[in-house]
Amino acid sequence: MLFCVISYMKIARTIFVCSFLGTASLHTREQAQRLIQETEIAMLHHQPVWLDFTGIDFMSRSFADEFLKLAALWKRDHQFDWLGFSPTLAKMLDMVAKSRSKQSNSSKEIPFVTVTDESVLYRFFEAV
Amino acid sequence: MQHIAIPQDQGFSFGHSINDLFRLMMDLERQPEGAVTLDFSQCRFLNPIFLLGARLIAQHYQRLGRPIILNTQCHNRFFHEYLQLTHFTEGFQPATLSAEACNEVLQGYYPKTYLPLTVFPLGLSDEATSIRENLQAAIASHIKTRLSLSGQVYESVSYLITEMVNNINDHSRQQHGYLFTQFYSSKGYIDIGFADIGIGFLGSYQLTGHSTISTHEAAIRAGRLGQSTKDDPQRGFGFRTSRSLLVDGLGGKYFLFSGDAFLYNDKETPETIRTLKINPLIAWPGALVAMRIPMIASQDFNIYTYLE
Repeated sequence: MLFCVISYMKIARTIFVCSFLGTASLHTREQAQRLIQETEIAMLHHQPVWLDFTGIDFMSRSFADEFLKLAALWKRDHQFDWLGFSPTLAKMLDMVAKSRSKQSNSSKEIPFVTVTDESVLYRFFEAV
Repeated sequence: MQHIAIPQDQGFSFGHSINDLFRLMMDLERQPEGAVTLDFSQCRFLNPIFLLGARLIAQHYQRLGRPIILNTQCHNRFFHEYLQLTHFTEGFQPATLSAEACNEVLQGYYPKTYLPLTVFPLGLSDEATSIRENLQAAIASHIKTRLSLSGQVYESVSYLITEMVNNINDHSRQQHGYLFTQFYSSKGYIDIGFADIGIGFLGSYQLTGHSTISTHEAAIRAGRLGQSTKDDPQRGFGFRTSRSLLVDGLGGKYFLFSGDAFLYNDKETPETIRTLKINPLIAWPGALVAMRIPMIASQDFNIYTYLE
């Protein structure tokens, strides 16, 4: 009985994002996908799995959006979490999480002009 | 053979470099058929946004079967050396190097005030993705250390670079995207241009079934308002937030040119989309984005105000 319990217990594992992805800055959705895939594999043998973001100094909106989307699917059934966020990374993730609940479309009116005279075009850019 | 003399010096005006690009495009349209030489021999100083545009418009014409020769044998030896070091015209191609070798090349630019005209691979393959990721990280790191950027300005510059590179990758349907940058430390800004000669905003919407978007102006408007080509409400933030961060947040200048329409915006110039109906007609084949990014932000600047 004791043997069964021990063999079922999984030990924790920490994935260091900086060394796993080999970079201090996170730019693409594909990086988020690779990280989640690694987490998925790790969870077969380890629980909980921690993602440690220590040393990451930039996270793009695309990475954050993809990471949250995939993480939401996994967190329902599995034990994993993340740590080591700098305040700026935490803000990016928080902001993207909030924006996921609203539409991206804006309804601002943007003026439209037709330029028919070459000299008007040049005068415009000489002034900027 | 026809001959077009490239301007000698554009000074530091953002608008002059754009005007010179428009002039070059119109000059090319006005030339009779046959080969054309773009003559850089008298040049002393040119803005990277103009150089990027000239390089790509020449490539576009070559694709259409019109020979364009770029004479980069400059009399001014400093500018000649600059063109060589920036890999103008062929471009620096990280895809031909390992990640380590690419980083080493970029590290060689540490004392310089510019990075090479860079040709980055597009597509969803692991290899192309990995090269782009490494390149974006290397450029962000280079800019951070070279210009001593930190905090929110560093985050902003990284954000803008990432969004532009990702947008080109997501929408151009080409094999390569291009970027070119110059740092003006004493003046406190960075000029950076991103471009492709792909399908443009209009092509991107039309190829994804958005048939009601039928003009370049309408396509730029849709992109600006956040209408995702994938109809995913969680996508389509990049264009809008980048413009807002750059202009409203940092006080920079933003220029987007796609097809016969362009959008220009800075602190003093309200955001407006303009369509060119001039003679001869000119249009950018794909998308060109030029930015002047201030390196210093106001004390109350908060990047997250602009990212929504």
